[in-house]
Parts: sequence; C-alpha cells; structure tokens
Amino acid sequence: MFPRWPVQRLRVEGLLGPEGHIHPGGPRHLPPNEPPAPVVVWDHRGGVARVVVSCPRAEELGICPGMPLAEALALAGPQLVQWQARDPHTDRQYLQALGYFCQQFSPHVAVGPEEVHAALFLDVTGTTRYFGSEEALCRKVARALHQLGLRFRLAVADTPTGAWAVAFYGKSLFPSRPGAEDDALEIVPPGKTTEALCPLPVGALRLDSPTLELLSRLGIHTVEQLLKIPPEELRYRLGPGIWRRWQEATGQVPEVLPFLPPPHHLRRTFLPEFPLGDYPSVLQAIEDLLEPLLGELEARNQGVIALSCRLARECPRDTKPRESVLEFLFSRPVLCKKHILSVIELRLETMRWHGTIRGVTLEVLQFGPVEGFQHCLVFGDTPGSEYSPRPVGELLDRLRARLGPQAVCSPVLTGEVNPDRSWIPGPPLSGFGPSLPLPKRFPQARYPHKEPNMSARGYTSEDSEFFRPRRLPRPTTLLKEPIPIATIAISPWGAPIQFVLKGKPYQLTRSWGPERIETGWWRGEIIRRDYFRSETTTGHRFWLFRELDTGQWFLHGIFD
Amino acid sequence: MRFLPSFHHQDSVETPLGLRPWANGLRFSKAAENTCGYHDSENSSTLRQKNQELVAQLREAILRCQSQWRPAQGEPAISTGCPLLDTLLPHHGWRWGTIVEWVALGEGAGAKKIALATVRPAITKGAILFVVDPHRRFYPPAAIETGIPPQAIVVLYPQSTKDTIWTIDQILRTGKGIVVWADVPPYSPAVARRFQLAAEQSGAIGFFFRSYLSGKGPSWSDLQLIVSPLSSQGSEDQWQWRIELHRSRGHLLPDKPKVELSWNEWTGSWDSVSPLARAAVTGGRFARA
Repeated sequence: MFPRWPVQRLRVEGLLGPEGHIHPGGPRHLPPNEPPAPVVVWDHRGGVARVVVSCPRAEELGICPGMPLAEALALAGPQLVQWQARDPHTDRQYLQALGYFCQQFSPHVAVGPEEVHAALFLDVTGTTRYFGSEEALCRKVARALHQLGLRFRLAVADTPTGAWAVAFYGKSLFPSRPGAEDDALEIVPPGKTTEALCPLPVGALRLDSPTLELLSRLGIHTVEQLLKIPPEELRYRLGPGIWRRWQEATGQVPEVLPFLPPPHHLRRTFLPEFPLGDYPSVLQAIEDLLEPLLGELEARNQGVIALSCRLARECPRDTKPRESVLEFLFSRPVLCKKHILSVIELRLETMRWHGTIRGVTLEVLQFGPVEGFQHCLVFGDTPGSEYSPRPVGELLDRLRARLGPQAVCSPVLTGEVNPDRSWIPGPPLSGFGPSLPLPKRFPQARYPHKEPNMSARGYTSEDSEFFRPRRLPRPTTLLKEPIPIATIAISPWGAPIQFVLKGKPYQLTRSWGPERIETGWWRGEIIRRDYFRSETTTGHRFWLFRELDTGQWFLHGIFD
Repeated sequence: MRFLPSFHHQDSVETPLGLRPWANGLRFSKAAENTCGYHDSENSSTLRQKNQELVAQLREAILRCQSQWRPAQGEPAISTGCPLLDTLLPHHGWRWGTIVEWVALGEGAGAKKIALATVRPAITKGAILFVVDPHRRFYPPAAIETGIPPQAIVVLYPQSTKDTIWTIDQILRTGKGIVVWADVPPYSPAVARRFQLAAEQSGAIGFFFRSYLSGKGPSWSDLQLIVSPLSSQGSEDQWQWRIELHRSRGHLLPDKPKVELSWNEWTGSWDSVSPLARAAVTGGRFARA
C-alpha cells in the first residue's frame, strides 16, 4: 500500500517508464527521499480549490486535506510549498508502471482501486520458494521500493482483501522509513486471516462510503461486531455486497483482480495504406493479425481467454478519429483460429459501420494454459461426464458475441420475497458439473414417491433444524409489469370469483392464498401484497395479487 | 372412342395435352375430363373410381414413406419421469434429436409446467436447459422449484425475431445433452426445416411452445402435444391435464391418443386421473386411452 500516492507519484515521475523499466541514471541518482519543499496536491471541490493530499512535511506546517488551497499557501508561503493539481490519470499510469516494475517478484500483479492511498496486489502463491521465504521476498520488495524513494506498507495474507486490510489498518500505519523495513511489514500466518481481520475496523472490508456511514450509525465499528449479525439479515438489510466482501476477505469465494498483462505484450497493429471500408476486409486484417499471436501462444502452450480488438475509425462528418474497442471473453483458453474468428465475425456483423477503418489493433488481454483432454473412444470427449462441455463453451462464446454478454445468464436465487427480485442473472453455467446438487425442494432420497412430512399447512420441518417456511409454487411466466384487472369478489378481503383481462371474463372456481408478501423499508420500494393462485372453471391458473394499500387487483403471473 | 389415360401405366402414356398424368397430380383427372369431353355418367363414375383408387394408393405410399422415415436407433429415449406419458410417446420418452411442440389451450394451461417436470430426468443426467426468452417473461424460480438446478439453466434474451431464430438454430446445432426451451415466433417452413435438421444432426431436443391457433397450422416437429388443463378437484398442489398426441412423425394417428394425468407439484409424483388407467399402470401394462 502506498500512502499519499498523488504526492509520492511526483518522486517516481521521470524515473519509471510506462512498462516499469527504470530510466538510465536511476535509481542510484535519485533525488533525496524528502523533497526540498513540502508538497501539496489540490483539486476542485465544491467550486473551491482544496488540498486533497499533502506530504508529512506540509502537515507539520499545519496544512491538512480539505483545507482551501489559498489558506494552505498563506500558511506556508507560496514560495515554500510545491503545489500541484491532482491528475488521477497520471497517478494511475505511474501506479501501473510500478506494477510492471513489481512483476520481477511475481508474474501476477494487479492495481488496486483508485484511491488516495494506492495499492498493488501481488499474487505470491508459489513464488516464495525462489526467494527463500515470504519474509525474504518482502524484504527484497521493500529494498527495491526504498531505492525508488517510496513510502509503503507491505502485508502478506491468504486473500487480497485480507492483505489490504492488514496493510492499511495494521498495528502501525505509515511507519516505513528507509532502513526500517521490518516496521513496514506484516505477515499473517496461513489460515489466520479471519482472526487478523476481526479486531480491525469495518473499513478494512473495503466497503463503500454509504454502507460505512450506515454501519457507523448502527454502532458497528469492528469486523467482529459485524459478524455477530446473522448472514441473512446482513444481506437483506445492508445489501448482498457486504456479505460478499466478507466472503472474499476470508477466501470463501475467489476475488477477481484485474491483473496486469505480462510485460511482453501480445499485441499486433495493422495500419492499412488505404482505409478499410467494409467488414470483410477488416475481418481479413484481423485474421492476419491473429495468426502470429496464436503462434506465439501456441509455443507457450497457452490459449486466449480475453482478447481486445481496437478499430481506429474515421467518420466523414467527424474530423476527430474515434476508436471502437471490442472485447471478447472466452469460456476457456482457446487456440482455435476458426472459433476466435467466428466469434469476432458475429460481433462485427452486429456493428453499424460509419466511415472507414484506419487501423486495427489486436491484443491478447488474458491467456491461460490450454486444457489438454483425452478423447474418449466410445462416448463423449470428457471422461466422467455424459455430455462434453466443450461445444457448450464455444456456443456460449458465440451467443455472447452476437446477443451481448448481458443477454446470456444463469439464474441465481437471491432469497428475496419480492418476486421481481427473487433472482438475479449470474455467469452462465458457473459450477455446472455432471453431479449437480438438486434443490432442497425435492431431496433426491424421497423424490418422487415419498410424501413430505407436513407439520402444518404451508410448512414443513424436514431437512432443517428450524421450522422453515415452505416454498410456495411460482408461475412459469412472470409479467414485467403487473397488469391491473377488474375483479368481482364476494367479500372485500377475499379472493375474487371473476376477473376481466383484456375484455375477456375469467370465472374462478378456486383460489389458494393469501400469500402475503411484504418487504421492509430498508429494501427500497415498499411492497405490500396478498397473492392468490386462482384457477378458472376450465382449469387454467393465474397468479393474482391485491395491493394492500389501494385494494387494486393485478395479474402478475401465469402458470403457463 | 377417345383415349382414356390409364393410371396404372401412367409412365407410358401421353395425354392429348401432351402432359403426363402424374405431372399434374390429382387435378389432372378433372382437367382431362373436361378437355377430353367425358360427359357421360358412366365414364365419369369410372374416372371417379380411378381417382379414388389413386388417392388410396398415394395415401398408402405416404404412410409407407412416413413409417420408414427413420430407422430405429439403438440409443434409448430418456424417460419423462411419468410412466403414463411415456406410454403415450412413440419412443417411451424424450428422444435426442427431436423437436417437440407443446400446444397449450389458452394461457395458464400449464404446458410449460409439464415440460419442466418431464425434462428434469434429462437435466439430472447432465443435460443443460437453454431457455430462449425474447419477451423476458420466463421466471426461473418456477423451474428451480420443479427440481432443475439453477446452474443447469441458461437464459437467453435475443432482442429480435431474427436473433431468436438464429439463437435457437445455434443451440440446436450444438449437440446432445442440450434441451432448447423456446417460445417460438411464427417461422417459415424453411426455418422449421433448418431446426429439424439441426436437431437431427446434433442430437439436441427442442421444446417449442405455441399457442393453439398458431399450432393448428402445418408442423415440422417430430411430436406435437396438445395440453388442455382439467379442474384440479380442490387440491392446491394437484395439477390435472389431458395430453393429446396430435402428431408423431413416422406414425399415423387416426384416433389421436390421449392421456389424463395428475401431477403433484409438491411431491413431484405423477398419477393417472382415470382409475382404470391407474390399475393398468400398477399391472405394468398400458392401454392407450
């Protein structure tokens, strides 16, 4: 973690190249660790230039973040303070360059979220043996960073969030001084990340500001206090993000980090002599670029996982050249040129072509080892599975390319009672395997012959130590917006005996319910409804509800 | 006497118009009658008789072609999980590489519920359910309730009819172990033939849902099932349907076989509505209702 990165970045400016290499002359001829004058970085906030970050020397003068720049200059004198406007883009660029610099310690380096205190994540799994131990590795990293004149704090833990939390909220914040590497280093023993996190403030989970503010108002200040709340309540009342962050911090679910591509870029550019006007010629250019890239990958036994295609466009109406970036994500490492081209072609077909193409750049953003699999002599390709997953993966690639990534999903149940929010789209076929666990509604042992142990109408006590409510049937078709309907009912709060939809009357013989669905105030829109499953005289079934506030009836679902 | 075309030796004859009798099919006889001037009742009745014979021969030929359309393959069909429905289906279950059309009598008939319940055995063996839902109306919790794991469901949202047809075609071409579930838009016979070939070649199953009105037209599906709901007799979990096998490729169905089923949504158990059929199930033999 690099505290006050916008200030520290000024020190490495001119020293680090964009790909992490050190310019000739450094680092032995670095400027002294402390700049001659205090440094202040300012930004416009609320129409006023205010100090965003200041170096420790400036703080000694009484300058602190949030202070108007004019006041800061008055305190120290404009001649004595080096003041500079904040430039997040350059901050990010230099952090990325530092990430490339750190790839000498681990091939997997990711740049952390953009904040005042920047962070780099190094996945050191399996690399410690080259350095002796984790501690030796950290000392080596610390020495290299000191040579660049940076202040930092290092932490090693089982998970990225765990390491970040310990680095940021550990026992001593910002203690690093040249020659005192031990102070800036904290190593959490394997398997002890949860224990290390418990006493830390809730901010250690990298939660967003509104959530932190809410937790503060509720009197929850440490992670330990937060964990005393049951997970279900935590999810409902504070959103699913907080529970997910905890699971990521403890390694229960993997945390996805945007690792930097390797220094040796797999990138090819084609600048045509004449602009390309139609998509077959663009596709031909892409094919020509793809071939050497795949050749390089094949030599390393690697396949493409993520690919980006940049098209420099030139529009007749627009004098400024524009760039279209197409990104492709494959379900597994691919080396098959035909498949990659077919996916690119599907995307190009759906594009609207305006103007001409002046340049095509193809870059492999992510690659991985090609999975070798043994062909089965008799049945499918993969042993142990009745059906081969390979064509399905390729199918998903094609569907994503043509329909868009948002249009291909697998459902994930959220546990919400509100029918509109009871599921969310998740990544397709994640966790799919030959032996899928069946949902609890039909435990394999009793399905389909044994009757459930009904302890009360609507409730069952089996499979759980608790008396959990029975899941009531849901319609196969749920309307995007409930349709208001006119009904006739015998009692004002009872089920209807007739409803009219699009001018057609439906006589109802039976209705089962009500199933009351009420959502809490903390879930945004308040819903108070009584749902009924209604059957017509002909046996057709509908899902109706009455708004408890207005008494208006709606059709929400159809048991198609 | 003028020349009377013989339908038994049609290859060797020429009509006065220079046409072969088979070239114009059945309409030729009427044309020949008018052109050649057969107006007397005796000749006309002879011609009518000949025509009837021809129609009978053609019908027989069509039946022969249809029944020999596909030789029986060694791979067994996947049971629907409902013994009574298995007996209704020609291969005693869902067969890979076929397209099944579900025609529901009105909204809320429950055809999709039956389809979900009967496709579950295939899903538990590792198949994947691809739901093509252009109108964004499919509600996955209903599928999960019937015992289909959410990981085995892929929901797709094409935005246009063209994309919908392309998506169905692509999925059907993928291979065995795929079940396509789609509210199909009206499509041309060429598209239908594409779907049929795609399913046959790859071995995927297509479940297409059509309304009764659109389902009455010509169909290229291997099976067409008409689902009409029955009153549930007061039980919330009990669904009752009458399922009619309206079309089966390779089989002539002069009397459309049908079964009346009862399904308990909570336990997942199937039963017959008719006590006689239930007795037949217990005895291990089925008689088509």
